[in-house]
Amino acid sequence: MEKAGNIIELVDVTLTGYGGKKIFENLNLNLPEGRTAVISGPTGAGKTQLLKLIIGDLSAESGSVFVFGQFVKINKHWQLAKIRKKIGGVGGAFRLISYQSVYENLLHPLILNKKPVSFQKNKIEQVLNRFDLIGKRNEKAGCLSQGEKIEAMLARAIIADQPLLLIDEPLAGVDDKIAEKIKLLLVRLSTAGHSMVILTSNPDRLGIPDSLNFRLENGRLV
Amino acid sequence: MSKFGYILRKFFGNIMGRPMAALGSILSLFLLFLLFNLVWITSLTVNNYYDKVISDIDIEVFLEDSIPDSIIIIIRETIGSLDGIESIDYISRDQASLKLKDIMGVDLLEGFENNPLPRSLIIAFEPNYLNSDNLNSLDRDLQRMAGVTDIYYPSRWLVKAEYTKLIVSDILILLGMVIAVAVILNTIQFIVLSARTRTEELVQLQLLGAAPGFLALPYIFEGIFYTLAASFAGWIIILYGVDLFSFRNVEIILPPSIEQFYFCLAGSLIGLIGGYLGIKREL
Repeated sequence: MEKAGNIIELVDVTLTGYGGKKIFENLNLNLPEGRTAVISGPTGAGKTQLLKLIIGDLSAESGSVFVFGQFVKINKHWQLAKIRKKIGGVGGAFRLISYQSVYENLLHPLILNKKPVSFQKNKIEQVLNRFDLIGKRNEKAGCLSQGEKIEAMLARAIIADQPLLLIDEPLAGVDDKIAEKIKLLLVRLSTAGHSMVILTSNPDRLGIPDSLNFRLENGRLV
Repeated sequence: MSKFGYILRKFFGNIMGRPMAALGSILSLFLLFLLFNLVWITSLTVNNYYDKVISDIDIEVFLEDSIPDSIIIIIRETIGSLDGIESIDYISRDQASLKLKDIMGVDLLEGFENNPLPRSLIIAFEPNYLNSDNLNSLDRDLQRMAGVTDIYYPSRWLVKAEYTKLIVSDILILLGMVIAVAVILNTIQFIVLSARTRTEELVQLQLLGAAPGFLALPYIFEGIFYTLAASFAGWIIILYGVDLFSFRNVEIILPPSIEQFYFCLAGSLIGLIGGYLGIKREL
Protein backbone atom coordinates (compact mmCIF):
# COMPACT_ATOMS: atom_id res chain seq x y z
CA MET A 1 0.00 0.00 0.00
CA GLU A 2 1.41 3.42 -0.96
CA LYS A 3 0.37 6.92 -0.07
CA ALA A 4 1.77 10.10 -1.60
CA GLY A 5 2.24 13.42 0.18
CA ASN A 6 3.56 13.54 3.72
CA ILE A 7 6.88 12.00 4.67
CA ILE A 8 5.26 10.48 7.78
CA GLU A 9 1.56 9.85 8.15
CA LEU A 10 -0.07 8.11 11.10
CA VAL A 11 -3.79 7.48 10.68
CA ASP A 12 -5.97 6.56 13.67
CA VAL A 13 -3.24 4.56 15.34
CA THR A 14 -4.17 2.64 18.47
CA LEU A 15 -1.64 0.88 20.66
CA THR A 16 -2.12 -0.85 24.00
CA GLY A 17 0.73 -1.41 26.42
CA TYR A 18 1.27 -3.95 29.19
CA GLY A 19 -1.68 -4.39 31.52
CA GLY A 20 -4.15 -3.12 28.90
CA LYS A 21 -3.15 0.53 29.27
CA LYS A 22 -3.89 2.50 26.10
CA ILE A 23 -0.71 4.19 24.90
CA PHE A 24 -2.21 5.65 21.73
CA GLU A 25 -5.85 5.98 20.81
CA ASN A 26 -6.75 7.15 17.30
CA LEU A 27 -3.48 9.01 17.07
CA ASN A 28 -2.90 11.04 13.90
CA LEU A 29 0.27 12.72 12.69
CA ASN A 30 1.29 14.28 9.40
CA LEU A 31 4.82 15.45 8.74
CA PRO A 32 5.33 17.25 5.42
CA GLU A 33 8.70 16.95 3.72
CA GLY A 34 11.36 19.34 4.99
CA ARG A 35 9.57 20.14 8.24
CA THR A 36 10.49 19.39 11.83
CA ALA A 37 8.00 18.04 14.33
CA VAL A 38 8.82 18.41 18.01
CA ILE A 39 6.76 15.98 20.04
CA SER A 40 6.84 16.44 23.77
CA GLY A 41 5.38 14.55 26.64
CA PRO A 42 6.26 13.35 30.09
CA THR A 43 8.21 10.17 30.67
CA GLY A 44 5.98 7.18 29.89
CA ALA A 45 3.73 9.12 27.51
CA GLY A 46 4.75 6.87 24.62
CA LYS A 47 7.38 8.93 22.80
CA THR A 48 9.74 6.01 22.26
CA GLN A 49 6.82 3.75 21.20
CA LEU A 50 5.90 6.37 18.61
CA LEU A 51 9.43 6.23 17.24
CA LYS A 52 9.27 2.42 17.19
CA LEU A 53 5.98 2.53 15.28
CA ILE A 54 7.54 4.77 12.64
CA ILE A 55 10.54 2.50 12.12
CA GLY A 56 8.43 -0.65 12.13
CA ASP A 57 9.83 -1.99 15.38
CA LEU A 58 6.33 -2.06 16.86
CA SER A 59 3.02 -2.88 15.27
CA ALA A 60 -0.14 -0.85 15.87
CA GLU A 61 -3.28 -2.73 16.83
CA SER A 62 -5.31 -0.63 14.48
CA GLY A 63 -4.70 2.27 12.16
CA SER A 64 -1.95 2.75 9.61
CA VAL A 65 1.58 4.08 9.58
CA PHE A 66 3.00 5.42 6.31
CA VAL A 67 6.61 6.49 5.91
CA PHE A 68 7.78 7.87 2.55
CA GLY A 69 4.31 6.90 1.34
CA GLN A 70 4.96 3.23 2.16
CA PHE A 71 2.71 1.31 4.53
CA VAL A 72 4.91 0.16 7.41
CA LYS A 73 4.38 -3.50 8.20
CA ILE A 74 6.46 -5.15 10.88
CA ASN A 75 6.92 -8.52 9.17
CA LYS A 76 7.82 -7.21 5.71
CA HIS A 77 11.55 -7.29 6.39
CA TRP A 78 12.76 -6.32 2.92
CA GLN A 79 10.35 -3.41 2.66
CA LEU A 80 11.23 -2.26 6.20
CA ALA A 81 14.92 -2.36 5.31
CA LYS A 82 14.26 -0.10 2.32
CA ILE A 83 12.39 2.41 4.49
CA ARG A 84 14.93 2.30 7.32
CA LYS A 85 17.84 3.01 4.97
CA LYS A 86 16.32 6.42 4.42
CA ILE A 87 15.98 7.14 8.13
CA GLY A 88 18.70 8.51 10.38
CA GLY A 89 18.13 7.77 14.05
CA VAL A 90 19.42 9.25 17.26
CA GLY A 91 18.63 7.93 20.73
CA GLY A 92 15.84 5.58 21.80
CA ALA A 93 16.35 2.34 19.92
CA PHE A 94 19.15 3.91 17.88
CA ARG A 95 22.56 3.59 19.52
CA LEU A 96 26.17 3.49 18.48
CA ILE A 97 27.81 0.07 18.37
CA SER A 98 29.94 0.42 21.49
CA TYR A 99 32.83 -1.89 20.49
CA GLN A 100 33.31 -0.30 17.09
CA SER A 101 35.17 2.92 16.34
CA VAL A 102 33.35 6.12 15.46
CA TYR A 103 34.63 5.68 11.90
CA GLU A 104 33.12 2.17 11.63
CA ASN A 105 29.82 3.38 13.08
CA LEU A 106 29.63 6.08 10.44
CA LEU A 107 30.56 3.64 7.70
CA HIS A 108 27.42 1.48 8.08
CA PRO A 109 24.84 3.82 6.50
CA LEU A 110 27.22 4.46 3.59
CA ILE A 111 27.66 0.72 2.94
CA LEU A 112 23.95 0.03 3.26
CA ASN A 113 23.08 2.89 0.92
CA LYS A 114 25.67 1.57 -1.58
CA LYS A 115 27.77 4.73 -1.63
CA PRO A 116 30.94 4.23 -3.70
CA VAL A 117 34.04 3.11 -1.77
CA SER A 118 36.03 6.11 -3.00
CA PHE A 119 33.36 8.43 -1.61
CA GLN A 120 33.06 6.83 1.84
CA LYS A 121 36.35 7.93 3.44
CA ASN A 122 36.05 11.55 2.30
CA LYS A 123 32.45 11.76 3.38
CA ILE A 124 33.17 10.39 6.85
CA GLU A 125 36.04 12.83 7.35
CA GLN A 126 33.94 15.69 6.10
CA VAL A 127 31.09 14.86 8.51
CA LEU A 128 33.46 14.23 11.42
CA ASN A 129 34.99 17.66 10.82
CA ARG A 130 31.56 19.23 10.72
CA PHE A 131 30.67 17.70 14.10
CA ASP A 132 34.12 18.37 15.66
CA LEU A 133 34.69 14.63 16.05
CA ILE A 134 37.70 14.17 13.79
CA GLY A 135 39.94 13.62 16.82
CA LYS A 136 37.63 10.80 17.97
CA ARG A 137 37.73 9.04 14.60
CA ASN A 138 39.36 5.84 15.86
CA GLU A 139 37.98 5.87 19.38
CA LYS A 140 35.55 3.13 20.39
CA ALA A 141 32.02 4.49 20.57
CA GLY A 142 31.61 3.06 24.05
CA CYS A 143 34.39 5.35 25.30
CA LEU A 144 32.72 8.58 24.13
CA SER A 145 30.98 11.01 26.50
CA GLN A 146 27.17 11.27 26.29
CA GLY A 147 27.42 14.52 24.32
CA GLU A 148 29.90 13.02 21.87
CA LYS A 149 27.69 9.98 21.44
CA ILE A 150 24.73 12.16 20.47
CA GLU A 151 26.92 14.12 18.07
CA ALA A 152 28.26 10.92 16.53
CA MET A 153 24.70 9.55 16.18
CA LEU A 154 23.65 12.79 14.50
CA ALA A 155 26.63 12.47 12.18
CA ARG A 156 25.59 8.89 11.37
CA ALA A 157 22.00 10.03 10.86
CA ILE A 158 22.85 12.43 8.05
CA ILE A 159 25.97 10.87 6.52
CA ALA A 160 24.16 9.03 3.74
CA ASP A 161 21.83 11.98 3.09
CA GLN A 162 18.98 10.19 4.83
CA PRO A 163 15.85 12.26 4.13
CA LEU A 164 14.26 11.68 7.55
CA LEU A 165 15.76 12.03 11.03
CA LEU A 166 14.17 10.54 14.14
CA ILE A 167 15.66 11.95 17.31
CA ASP A 168 14.70 10.73 20.78
CA GLU A 169 15.63 12.90 23.77
CA PRO A 170 18.65 14.59 22.19
CA LEU A 171 19.49 16.60 25.30
CA ALA A 172 19.11 13.85 27.88
CA GLY A 173 22.13 13.47 30.15
CA VAL A 174 24.19 16.32 28.71
CA ASP A 175 25.32 19.50 30.41
CA ASP A 176 24.22 22.96 29.27
CA LYS A 177 27.34 23.59 27.19
CA ILE A 178 26.95 20.39 25.18
CA ALA A 179 23.18 20.92 25.03
CA GLU A 180 23.75 24.30 23.37
CA LYS A 181 26.05 22.69 20.82
CA ILE A 182 23.52 19.94 20.01
CA LYS A 183 20.70 22.47 19.86
CA LEU A 184 22.69 24.50 17.36
CA LEU A 185 23.30 21.39 15.25
CA LEU A 186 19.58 20.55 15.28
CA VAL A 187 18.64 24.10 14.30
CA ARG A 188 21.11 23.95 11.43
CA LEU A 189 19.73 20.63 10.25
CA SER A 190 16.17 21.95 10.49
CA THR A 191 16.92 25.12 8.58
CA ALA A 192 18.85 23.08 5.99
CA GLY A 193 15.52 21.41 5.17
CA HIS A 194 15.93 18.00 6.84
CA SER A 195 12.65 16.35 7.78
CA MET A 196 12.88 15.59 11.49
CA VAL A 197 10.84 14.18 14.31
CA ILE A 198 12.28 15.19 17.67
CA LEU A 199 10.88 13.56 20.77
CA THR A 200 11.60 15.33 24.02
CA SER A 201 10.29 15.70 27.54
CA ASN A 202 11.54 19.26 27.67
CA PRO A 203 10.59 21.20 24.49
CA ASP A 204 11.50 24.61 25.97
CA ARG A 205 15.13 23.56 26.12
CA LEU A 206 15.18 22.85 22.37
CA GLY A 207 13.69 25.88 20.69
CA ILE A 208 13.72 24.78 17.05
CA PRO A 209 12.38 27.66 14.95
CA ASP A 210 9.46 27.09 12.60
CA SER A 211 8.82 23.60 13.96
CA LEU A 212 5.49 21.85 14.27
CA ASN A 213 4.95 21.37 18.00
CA PHE A 214 2.84 18.56 19.39
CA ARG A 215 2.21 17.26 22.84
CA LEU A 216 1.39 13.63 23.65
CA GLU A 217 -1.57 13.68 25.97
CA ASN A 218 -3.83 10.75 26.83
CA GLY A 219 -2.64 8.80 23.83
CA ARG A 220 -3.26 11.60 21.32
CA LEU A 221 -1.19 14.37 19.79
CA VAL A 222 -2.47 17.82 20.62
CA MET B 1 33.91 -0.75 1.70
CA SER B 2 31.47 -2.55 -0.56
CA LYS B 3 28.62 -4.67 0.76
CA PHE B 4 30.42 -7.84 -0.29
CA GLY B 5 33.65 -6.64 1.31
CA TYR B 6 31.74 -5.97 4.50
CA ILE B 7 30.21 -9.47 4.45
CA LEU B 8 33.66 -11.07 3.97
CA ARG B 9 35.17 -8.91 6.69
CA LYS B 10 32.45 -9.91 9.14
CA PHE B 11 32.86 -13.59 8.19
CA PHE B 12 36.60 -13.55 8.86
CA GLY B 13 36.03 -11.32 11.91
CA ASN B 14 33.60 -13.87 13.39
CA ILE B 15 36.24 -16.61 13.11
CA MET B 16 39.42 -14.67 13.90
CA GLY B 17 37.72 -12.72 16.68
CA ARG B 18 36.92 -15.92 18.59
CA PRO B 19 39.65 -18.35 17.51
CA MET B 20 39.19 -20.80 20.40
CA ALA B 21 35.43 -20.98 19.90
CA ALA B 22 35.96 -21.52 16.17
CA LEU B 23 38.51 -24.26 16.84
CA GLY B 24 36.18 -25.92 19.37
CA SER B 25 33.34 -25.84 16.85
CA ILE B 26 35.47 -27.38 14.11
CA LEU B 27 36.82 -30.09 16.44
CA SER B 28 33.43 -31.21 17.66
CA LEU B 29 32.07 -31.34 14.10
CA PHE B 30 35.26 -33.10 13.01
CA LEU B 31 34.61 -35.92 15.51
CA LEU B 32 31.10 -36.41 14.14
CA PHE B 33 32.35 -36.55 10.55
CA LEU B 34 35.20 -38.86 11.55
CA LEU B 35 32.73 -41.27 13.15
CA PHE B 36 30.68 -41.31 9.96
CA ASN B 37 33.79 -41.84 7.84
CA LEU B 38 34.79 -44.83 9.97
CA VAL B 39 31.39 -46.47 9.58
CA TRP B 40 31.41 -45.69 5.87
CA ILE B 41 34.81 -47.33 5.43
CA THR B 42 33.69 -50.30 7.54
CA SER B 43 30.65 -50.71 5.32
CA LEU B 44 32.74 -50.60 2.13
CA THR B 45 35.28 -53.02 3.58
CA VAL B 46 32.58 -55.46 4.69
CA ASN B 47 30.91 -55.25 1.27
CA ASN B 48 34.20 -55.89 -0.47
CA TYR B 49 34.99 -58.83 1.82
CA TYR B 50 31.49 -60.23 1.26
CA ASP B 51 31.82 -59.91 -2.53
CA LYS B 52 35.21 -61.60 -2.43
CA VAL B 53 34.00 -64.52 -0.31
CA ILE B 54 30.74 -64.95 -2.14
CA SER B 55 32.47 -65.09 -5.53
CA ASP B 56 33.85 -68.52 -4.43
CA ILE B 57 30.40 -69.94 -3.75
CA ASP B 58 29.09 -72.60 -6.08
CA ILE B 59 26.30 -75.18 -5.95
CA GLU B 60 27.04 -78.86 -6.07
CA VAL B 61 24.24 -80.97 -7.59
CA PHE B 62 24.47 -84.70 -6.80
CA LEU B 63 23.06 -87.10 -9.35
CA GLU B 64 21.34 -90.44 -9.04
CA ASP B 65 23.60 -93.47 -9.59
CA SER B 66 21.21 -95.05 -12.05
CA ILE B 67 20.78 -92.27 -14.62
CA PRO B 68 22.64 -92.69 -17.90
CA ASP B 69 25.12 -90.17 -19.26
CA SER B 70 22.61 -89.02 -21.92
CA ILE B 71 20.24 -87.81 -19.16
CA ILE B 72 23.16 -86.05 -17.43
CA ILE B 73 23.80 -84.14 -20.66
CA ILE B 74 20.13 -83.08 -20.76
CA ILE B 75 20.25 -82.01 -17.09
CA ARG B 76 23.41 -80.04 -17.76
CA GLU B 77 21.86 -78.28 -20.76
CA THR B 78 18.68 -77.49 -18.82
CA ILE B 79 20.67 -75.97 -15.95
CA GLY B 80 22.90 -74.08 -18.39
CA SER B 81 19.84 -72.40 -19.91
CA LEU B 82 18.85 -70.86 -16.52
CA ASP B 83 19.68 -67.22 -15.63
CA GLY B 84 22.93 -66.31 -13.92
CA ILE B 85 24.84 -69.52 -14.64
CA GLU B 86 28.44 -68.92 -15.61
CA SER B 87 29.73 -72.50 -15.95
CA ILE B 88 28.81 -76.13 -15.17
CA ASP B 89 31.48 -78.73 -14.53
CA TYR B 90 30.72 -82.43 -14.49
CA ILE B 91 32.49 -84.41 -11.74
CA SER B 92 32.66 -88.17 -12.33
CA ARG B 93 33.02 -90.72 -9.54
CA ASP B 94 36.78 -91.01 -10.18
CA GLN B 95 37.25 -87.22 -10.14
CA ALA B 96 35.25 -87.05 -6.90
CA SER B 97 37.49 -89.73 -5.40
CA LEU B 98 40.63 -87.80 -6.40
CA LYS B 99 39.19 -84.60 -4.98
CA LEU B 100 38.46 -86.31 -1.67
CA LYS B 101 41.97 -87.67 -1.55
CA ASP B 102 43.35 -84.18 -2.23
CA ILE B 103 41.27 -82.68 0.54
CA MET B 104 41.89 -85.39 3.18
CA GLY B 105 45.48 -86.27 2.28
CA VAL B 106 44.76 -90.03 2.40
CA ASP B 107 42.62 -92.36 0.32
CA LEU B 108 39.60 -92.94 2.56
CA LEU B 109 37.97 -95.18 -0.05
CA GLU B 110 40.79 -97.72 -0.08
CA GLY B 111 38.73 -100.45 1.62
CA PHE B 112 35.71 -100.06 -0.68
CA GLU B 113 35.20 -102.48 -3.50
CA ASN B 114 33.30 -99.93 -5.60
CA ASN B 115 33.65 -96.16 -5.49
CA PRO B 116 30.58 -95.05 -3.43
CA LEU B 117 30.88 -91.36 -4.27
CA PRO B 118 28.06 -89.92 -6.42
CA ARG B 119 28.49 -88.12 -9.69
CA SER B 120 27.82 -84.40 -9.51
CA LEU B 121 27.59 -81.11 -11.35
CA ILE B 122 29.33 -78.02 -9.96
CA ILE B 123 27.57 -74.80 -10.93
CA ALA B 124 29.41 -71.47 -10.84
CA PHE B 125 27.49 -68.19 -11.05
CA GLU B 126 27.80 -64.79 -12.56
CA PRO B 127 28.91 -62.27 -9.88
CA ASN B 128 25.67 -60.25 -9.78
CA TYR B 129 23.50 -63.33 -9.48
CA LEU B 130 24.89 -64.51 -6.17
CA ASN B 131 22.43 -63.92 -3.37
CA SER B 132 20.41 -66.15 -1.09
CA ASP B 133 17.07 -65.48 -2.86
CA ASN B 134 18.41 -66.46 -6.29
CA LEU B 135 20.18 -69.51 -4.94
CA ASN B 136 17.08 -70.63 -3.00
CA SER B 137 14.98 -70.30 -6.11
CA LEU B 138 17.52 -72.24 -8.14
CA ASP B 139 17.70 -74.84 -5.36
CA ARG B 140 13.92 -75.38 -5.64
CA ASP B 141 14.10 -75.68 -9.45
CA LEU B 142 16.94 -78.19 -9.25
CA GLN B 143 15.18 -80.28 -6.60
CA ARG B 144 12.30 -80.76 -8.99
CA MET B 145 14.55 -82.17 -11.74
CA ALA B 146 14.54 -85.92 -12.31
CA GLY B 147 17.89 -87.55 -11.61
CA VAL B 148 18.95 -84.99 -8.95
CA THR B 149 19.33 -86.51 -5.46
CA ASP B 150 20.81 -83.72 -3.41
CA ILE B 151 22.00 -80.11 -3.63
CA TYR B 152 24.66 -78.51 -1.52
CA TYR B 153 25.67 -74.89 -1.01
CA PRO B 154 26.37 -72.89 2.21
CA SER B 155 22.86 -71.49 2.43
CA ARG B 156 22.90 -70.62 6.14
CA TRP B 157 26.27 -68.96 5.92
CA LEU B 158 25.09 -66.97 2.91
CA VAL B 159 22.00 -65.70 4.78
CA LYS B 160 24.17 -64.66 7.76
CA ALA B 161 26.69 -62.89 5.53
CA GLU B 162 23.91 -61.03 3.71
CA TYR B 163 22.33 -60.08 7.04
CA THR B 164 25.65 -58.72 8.31
CA LYS B 165 26.07 -56.70 5.11
CA LEU B 166 22.55 -55.33 5.48
CA ILE B 167 23.07 -54.44 9.16
CA VAL B 168 26.28 -52.51 8.39
CA SER B 169 24.53 -50.70 5.55
CA ASP B 170 21.53 -49.86 7.79
CA ILE B 171 23.86 -48.61 10.53
CA LEU B 172 25.57 -46.38 7.98
CA ILE B 173 22.26 -44.89 6.84
CA LEU B 174 20.98 -44.43 10.39
CA LEU B 175 24.25 -42.99 11.62
CA GLY B 176 24.39 -40.73 8.58
CA MET B 177 20.98 -39.30 9.44
CA VAL B 178 21.81 -38.92 13.14
CA ILE B 179 25.12 -37.24 12.30
CA ALA B 180 23.48 -34.91 9.77
CA VAL B 181 20.96 -33.83 12.43
CA ALA B 182 23.72 -33.54 15.07
CA VAL B 183 25.86 -31.42 12.73
CA ILE B 184 22.92 -29.15 11.93
CA LEU B 185 22.04 -28.73 15.62
CA ASN B 186 25.67 -28.10 16.57
CA THR B 187 26.11 -25.59 13.75
CA ILE B 188 22.90 -23.81 14.80
CA GLN B 189 24.24 -23.47 18.34
CA PHE B 190 27.67 -22.28 17.18
CA ILE B 191 26.08 -19.66 14.92
CA VAL B 192 23.63 -18.55 17.62
CA LEU B 193 26.58 -18.06 20.01
CA SER B 194 28.54 -16.25 17.34
CA ALA B 195 25.57 -13.96 16.57
CA ARG B 196 24.94 -13.27 20.26
CA THR B 197 28.41 -11.83 20.68
CA ARG B 198 27.34 -9.29 18.04
CA THR B 199 23.71 -8.71 19.05
CA GLU B 200 24.29 -4.97 19.46
CA GLU B 201 25.64 -4.73 15.93
CA LEU B 202 22.85 -6.84 14.44
CA VAL B 203 20.13 -4.77 16.13
CA GLN B 204 21.65 -1.46 15.04
CA LEU B 205 22.28 -2.59 11.49
CA GLN B 206 18.67 -3.74 11.23
CA LEU B 207 17.55 -0.29 12.39
CA LEU B 208 19.86 1.30 9.84
CA GLY B 209 18.18 -0.68 7.08
CA ALA B 210 20.30 -3.79 6.62
CA ALA B 211 18.30 -6.49 4.87
CA PRO B 212 18.08 -9.92 6.58
CA GLY B 213 20.11 -11.55 3.80
CA PHE B 214 22.94 -9.06 4.19
CA LEU B 215 23.11 -9.69 7.94
CA ALA B 216 22.78 -13.45 7.59
CA LEU B 217 25.44 -14.10 4.94
CA PRO B 218 28.57 -13.84 7.16
CA TYR B 219 27.00 -16.36 9.57
CA ILE B 220 25.94 -18.70 6.78
CA PHE B 221 29.52 -18.57 5.44
CA GLU B 222 30.72 -19.29 8.98
CA GLY B 223 28.51 -22.40 9.16
CA ILE B 224 29.79 -23.58 5.78
CA PHE B 225 33.38 -22.96 6.83
CA TYR B 226 33.05 -24.99 10.06
CA THR B 227 31.50 -28.02 8.38
CA LEU B 228 33.75 -27.88 5.32
CA ALA B 229 36.87 -27.65 7.48
CA ALA B 230 35.60 -30.44 9.77
CA SER B 231 34.65 -32.83 6.95
CA PHE B 232 37.91 -32.14 5.12
CA ALA B 233 39.92 -32.74 8.31
CA GLY B 234 37.95 -35.97 8.81
CA TRP B 235 39.25 -37.33 5.49
CA ILE B 236 42.81 -36.10 6.03
CA ILE B 237 42.97 -38.04 9.30
CA ILE B 238 41.44 -41.16 7.70
CA LEU B 239 43.83 -41.09 4.74
CA TYR B 240 46.77 -40.63 7.11
CA GLY B 241 45.52 -43.38 9.44
CA VAL B 242 44.93 -45.93 6.66
CA ASP B 243 48.58 -45.67 5.67
CA LEU B 244 49.62 -46.53 9.22
CA PHE B 245 47.54 -49.67 9.63
CA SER B 246 47.37 -52.83 7.57
CA PHE B 247 45.44 -56.05 8.15
CA ARG B 248 46.56 -59.40 6.84
CA ASN B 249 43.28 -60.77 5.54
CA VAL B 250 41.24 -57.64 5.10
CA GLU B 251 41.80 -54.96 2.56
CA ILE B 252 40.54 -51.59 3.84
CA ILE B 253 38.41 -49.97 1.16
CA LEU B 254 38.19 -46.18 0.93
CA PRO B 255 35.51 -44.44 -1.08
CA PRO B 256 36.73 -42.98 -4.38
CA SER B 257 38.11 -39.42 -4.30
CA ILE B 258 35.04 -38.05 -6.05
CA GLU B 259 32.81 -39.49 -3.30
CA GLN B 260 35.06 -37.98 -0.63
CA PHE B 261 34.67 -34.66 -2.45
CA TYR B 262 30.87 -35.06 -2.55
CA PHE B 263 30.95 -35.91 1.15
CA CYS B 264 32.72 -32.60 1.91
CA LEU B 265 30.24 -30.84 -0.36
CA ALA B 266 27.33 -32.45 1.50
CA GLY B 267 29.00 -31.39 4.77
CA SER B 268 29.11 -27.80 3.49
CA LEU B 269 25.44 -27.99 2.54
CA ILE B 270 24.60 -29.14 6.06
CA GLY B 271 26.69 -26.22 7.36
CA LEU B 272 24.74 -23.86 5.13
CA ILE B 273 21.44 -25.15 6.51
CA GLY B 274 22.73 -24.97 10.10
CA GLY B 275 24.14 -21.48 9.57
CA TYR B 276 20.91 -20.25 8.01
CA LEU B 277 18.71 -21.72 10.77
CA GLY B 278 21.08 -20.38 13.46
CA ILE B 279 21.11 -16.79 12.24
CA LYS B 280 17.39 -16.88 11.42
CA ARG B 281 16.72 -17.41 15.11
CA GLU B 282 18.68 -14.30 15.99
CA LEU B 283 17.30 -11.88 13.39
